[in-house]
Amino acid sequence: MRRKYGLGAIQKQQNTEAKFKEKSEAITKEQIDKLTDQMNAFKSHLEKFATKHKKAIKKNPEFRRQFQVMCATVGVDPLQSSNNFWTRLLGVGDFYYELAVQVIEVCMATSYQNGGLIAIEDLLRRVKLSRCTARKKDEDITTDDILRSINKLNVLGNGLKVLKSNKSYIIQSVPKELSMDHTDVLRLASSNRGFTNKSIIRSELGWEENRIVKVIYDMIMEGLIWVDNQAESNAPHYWFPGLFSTSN
Amino acid sequence: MPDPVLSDYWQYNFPPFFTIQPNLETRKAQLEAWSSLILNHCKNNRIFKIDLKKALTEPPFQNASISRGLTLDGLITIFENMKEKGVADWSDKNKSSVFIYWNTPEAWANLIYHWVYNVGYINNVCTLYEIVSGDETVKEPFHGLDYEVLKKSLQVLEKQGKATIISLDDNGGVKFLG
Repeated sequence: MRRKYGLGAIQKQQNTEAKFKEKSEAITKEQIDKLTDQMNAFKSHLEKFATKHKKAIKKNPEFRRQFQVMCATVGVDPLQSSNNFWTRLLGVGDFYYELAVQVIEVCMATSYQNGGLIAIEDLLRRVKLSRCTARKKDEDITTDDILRSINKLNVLGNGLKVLKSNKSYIIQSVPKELSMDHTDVLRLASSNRGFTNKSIIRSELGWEENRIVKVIYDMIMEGLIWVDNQAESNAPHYWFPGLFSTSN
Repeated sequence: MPDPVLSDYWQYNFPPFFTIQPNLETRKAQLEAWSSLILNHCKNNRIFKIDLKKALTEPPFQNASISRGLTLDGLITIFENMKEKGVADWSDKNKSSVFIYWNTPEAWANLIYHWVYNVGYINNVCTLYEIVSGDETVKEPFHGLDYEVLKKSLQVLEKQGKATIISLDDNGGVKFLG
């Protein structure tokens, strides 16, 4: 076989490469066009679907969650902006903004009692209560909705923090930083009907007396815990009011 | 039978509610809740005066279901706080019992004077018995009012020049002025 040397050969090679490139671009474009078409078709179907099931989305929490998951898969966020197509169509954005406002209201109204810590179940119960009186009896909301609405709020800064505790969540509405020690004690109490005491902390977390005394003192001063001097064990119990109501 | 007032207060089943709280902010919230609970409880059961020794043994100051109860110091703290707010007053220097003003003597005075005016007893003499236990006042809110609170209320009217108290023993009487 004759080996290709010289200018002509290089030019020829370059031409071939250019043609290949052209072709591959054409194919890619075609694919993208196809995909775009598909996505558009999907989007329009999703929109049709959403319009059709608008009521169900608003009323049925499980349906709403599934819809959210579906939207997330294709990169559509119906909550992202207040004046995009989705919110205009569905009012879903409004749904979460409204919920977020109610969540804040409950957190503020209870913070002088619980120091700004509230278990999500209790929060949900109170939000439901306030929605009930405000005419919206037909809508059912879940802790998932609460978490989503809080998530939306975080765009505005760290107003509400979500602390995971066992299988549940605790919402913190005060801007103070909880140290790791505080959070540990909080978690301990949340799995113990809302209270703890020195000996529980000692045996569960293995802390020194000084460390226990300090964390308890801090939390009393922050208004996070209430002291109960009439406990059966004679040693005081320390209660988180925000974790209490759900334990009953 | 669950008490309709007490079940309105989640705190009533919250064990530390019966220990006066060391943190001042928390204590403020606690005393506020106690004050509201006591006023509603007394209004609902038409209680005018609370004996502290007795209070140490019964609801709402004791909650047997969670084995918690206020101590004497706790009670005194709560009533002192209510006194500052003008909704309670010690009946004696020893603080052995306390008047609970779910209606203040001023408010009772207004209600009584309003009734006197409506039935035309201005310039008449009424006995204390007639006012709180007589047939004519059965439908009035002050029917059954504690005598000592009644006397305080009449003294308010006297200060306002709307009444002259003739005598304040239990058979006493009062003349209402126009």
